[in-house]
Amino acid sequence: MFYLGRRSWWPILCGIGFAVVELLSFMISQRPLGAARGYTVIGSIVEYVLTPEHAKNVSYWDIYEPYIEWTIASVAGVIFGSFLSSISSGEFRIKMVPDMWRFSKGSSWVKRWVWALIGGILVGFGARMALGCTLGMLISGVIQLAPAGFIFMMSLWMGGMMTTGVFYHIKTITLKRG
Amino acid sequence: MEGILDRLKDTFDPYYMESFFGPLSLYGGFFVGTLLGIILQKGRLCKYDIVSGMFRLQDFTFFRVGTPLLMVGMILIYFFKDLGAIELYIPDTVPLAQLIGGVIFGSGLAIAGYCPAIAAGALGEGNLDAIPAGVGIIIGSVLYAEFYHETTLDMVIGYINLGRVTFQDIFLIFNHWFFIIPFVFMCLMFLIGISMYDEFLRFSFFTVGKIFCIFKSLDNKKCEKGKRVRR
Repeated sequence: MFYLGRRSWWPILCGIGFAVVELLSFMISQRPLGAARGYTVIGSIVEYVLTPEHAKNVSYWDIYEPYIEWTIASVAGVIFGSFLSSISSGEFRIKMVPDMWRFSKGSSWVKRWVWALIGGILVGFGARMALGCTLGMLISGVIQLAPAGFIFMMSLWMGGMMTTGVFYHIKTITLKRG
Repeated sequence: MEGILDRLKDTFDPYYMESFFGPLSLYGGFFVGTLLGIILQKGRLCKYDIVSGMFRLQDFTFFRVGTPLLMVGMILIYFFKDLGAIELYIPDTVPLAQLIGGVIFGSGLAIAGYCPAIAAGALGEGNLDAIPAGVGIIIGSVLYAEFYHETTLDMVIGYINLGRVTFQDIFLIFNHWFFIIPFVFMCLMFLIGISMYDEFLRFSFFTVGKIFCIFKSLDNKKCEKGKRVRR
């Protein structure tokens, strides 16, 4: 238990632990890890609760039925696990604006929250279009030797690098590292 | 109001709570998710600085965690598959959709700095800007379902669909170890290189920070002590 009190683990050890978690997910739940599906099902539930008549006509919700299921539980688990870990190492701190953003774009938290919302919309749309997020498509795809994962990894890099150059301009390079 | 509460009750199915095992079990999901959250936090992955630093080419923590993850995971999964303990669940390959979707996903990742799993982890760690990112992900998937799914554009982009294939099926080499062993060797070389480069970057950023500290202290300003992250 004293090992949980450390601030961070050796990266290679973390990677091996991550792989074991992926294997456990296959063994316990007979499915790979995934997070984007949980958000989609939450969207489905919200639409079903607020406008049930309209939600019946949307054909996409036949695939993602409005029931609280495995991925929502695992997203809740990630929040809980991260909270547990950061509390035990004393790293938990309420922060509005990350340090690196403060250097690049100023310290206004309204600006940061609006941009986070816009970025989140892009992430959600892209994840649905590519049939999975980094966890469900990239990691699970590459681990099972599916070409989908490799294509997604490549295109994610292209999009990320281009947008970073355009969005942060000259302040891409910061003086401090995270 | 009554109707909303009733419908909220409908979304919960007690069948999902019956056992620990199985693809529907809520307990299993929560258990796996908790382990994943601890790993993500201890690897220092759920921070904006780390994700954005990867795209700014100044922080390679992601590669240092991701490369061993991919090689060890690949070996473990296929070894246990050969033993017959697990079954694979291979994603669909739709090349054009994954190319365009990946570019959109990557640009969102560069702006928001949180991918779906990491947004959850960052919220647990106390970064409140993960809340709008999470709400944005939900809005994005609702937008996809409302305005994009099964339109003409979707049909065109999704026309080339290879189905649930792996590299073994494409190259017609049906022993997967022929792919895994070269990949692992490649990853090993990449891991050694990227670890050395990352340590070099860490050292140089630390030095540059110290030098700027000296210049700042000449202006009679209080300089915060450079903290090195203990590993």
